[in-house]
Amino acid sequence: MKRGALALCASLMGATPAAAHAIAERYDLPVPLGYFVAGSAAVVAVTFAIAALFVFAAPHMREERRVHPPDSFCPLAHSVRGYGVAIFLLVLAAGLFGHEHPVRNIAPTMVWVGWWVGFGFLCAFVADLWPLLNPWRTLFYLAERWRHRHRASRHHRPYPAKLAEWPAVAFMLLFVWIEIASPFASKPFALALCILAYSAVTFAGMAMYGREAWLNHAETFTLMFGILGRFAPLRIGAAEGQAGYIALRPWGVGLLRGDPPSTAVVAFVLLLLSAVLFDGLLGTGLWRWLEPKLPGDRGGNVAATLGLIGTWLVFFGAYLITCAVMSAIAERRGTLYVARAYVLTLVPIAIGYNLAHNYSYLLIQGQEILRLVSDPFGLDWNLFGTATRTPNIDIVDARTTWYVAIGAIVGGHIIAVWLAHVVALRISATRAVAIRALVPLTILMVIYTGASLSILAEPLVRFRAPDPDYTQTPLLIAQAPTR
Amino acid sequence: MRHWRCALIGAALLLAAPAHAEEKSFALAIERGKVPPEMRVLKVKRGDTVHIDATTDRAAVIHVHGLRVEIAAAPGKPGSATFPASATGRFPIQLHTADDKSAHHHGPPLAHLEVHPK
Repeated sequence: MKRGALALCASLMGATPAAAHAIAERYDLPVPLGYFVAGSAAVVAVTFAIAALFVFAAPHMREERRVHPPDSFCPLAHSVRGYGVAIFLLVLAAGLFGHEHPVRNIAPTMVWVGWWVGFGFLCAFVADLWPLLNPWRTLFYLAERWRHRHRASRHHRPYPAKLAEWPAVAFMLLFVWIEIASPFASKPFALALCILAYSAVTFAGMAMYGREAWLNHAETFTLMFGILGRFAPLRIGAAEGQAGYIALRPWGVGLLRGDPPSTAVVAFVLLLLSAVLFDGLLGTGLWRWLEPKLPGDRGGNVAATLGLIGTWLVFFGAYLITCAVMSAIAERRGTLYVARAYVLTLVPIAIGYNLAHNYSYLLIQGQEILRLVSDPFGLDWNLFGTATRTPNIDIVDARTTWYVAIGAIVGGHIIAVWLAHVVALRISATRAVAIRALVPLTILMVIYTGASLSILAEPLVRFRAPDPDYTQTPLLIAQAPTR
Repeated sequence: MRHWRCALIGAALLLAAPAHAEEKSFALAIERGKVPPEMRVLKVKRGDTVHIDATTDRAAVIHVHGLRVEIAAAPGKPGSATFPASATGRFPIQLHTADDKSAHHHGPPLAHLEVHPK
């Protein structure tokens, strides 16, 4: 019995301290050399092909087409809102009152696997459903309606324009820090406290500055899922209380809509890109080599924090330098204008890497939700008869994962380079200027994509690192009873 | 007639499939919580049968994560396990001492079992 309990603990709590993000470990085989070489060759070839195409022609971009949804759309939207609130309350209750072990509590798996990875994919590849699912938005809307029935409406303060989306950037930094570098990502109770604190800030913000103003500037998940959703082929335009519409468009075209975003959004997009890449970097030889050189504690949290912020600053810096070069050699506009105009074209690269990194993880660890819904609080319930289910780890073959991973990264790169060319033609005075301006950005995109491929192929394309010194293990061995 | 042929081919495939699978044996000599560098990656193909013999200088449980295999061993009492490599992946092999309550504070993996696709 004791052995069984240990085995359960061991099988489920596998992550080493340094990689103790989220809740479960990954079983991905590194991408073999052949796939890596083919992927890299495709990236370079495709980059030249797109550049050549745009030298001679300006391909026509299809705009979005509006479709009126069937009458069942409205009830469907309401049910998504209902699900959002129900899942939110379930996660909160499980975190506060459920079992303290992450494996027996639905909160960590729901947050990191179901919502952050799974729902993120839904937003990127289908449509941004967050405005419907967002429990803070729905709850606040209900509270407003209730208040209006009883009292006159209150006027809000105008949202300070200077703040722009910077609060969302700060919250996102905090959020990815919790995921990747904090010691409590998988602790249900701590996670619930974080959710409560964020809820309090969000409700207060909406009360002070108005619901939509706060959601669009400071509610970090509205911004994040919104940016992912601009890549998606569907856009749901749901006007308040009225029948909405659905817009159809090719992949990625939504990233070209509207005016260039603010400087805060530039920082935000670079943060998303560097956070997903750093998450992969943590498993590589480069990190094992770098980590002992950073100041750190035993769990590796301080080093990971420095690494996360460092990666962000390096990516941000590289992008701003590239934009400065573009501004100098071609555009007659400032670096920041160039940075804002092109930043959303980097989004497909982040989505491509995110799919490559999390494809098999989602398919394997996502199955845990089936088990946990039967016993969300760890009280030995079996509500749906699935409480003893174990994930089928044979659901994805490694070869399929490799094809998906390389395909996603190359595909993301193609779309990114294509979008950058469209933006260049749109904002540059002549085509010659546009082509010239694109050279530095295209090189940067090849570097970002190359970094994604190398991280996936590790430890095959290993950065030669000295043998890791496993000094922690003997400490544990010392506790063993000597017979 | 055609059904018979299909059935025959199916049977032949079923019989032929295990013929390609091999049994692969590995010896893990664990000393002070480590194995020698050449033992840190165990490579097999999906469908192979894996056999692991473990010797250790302290009482411990060796656990192959993901595949849910555990091997108990103690000084002078080597442990072993035989199991099918039923899924592709890179599975950490972790060492847990017998009364280790802090299962999630253990160090880096002892080794990795890499199950490659055929």
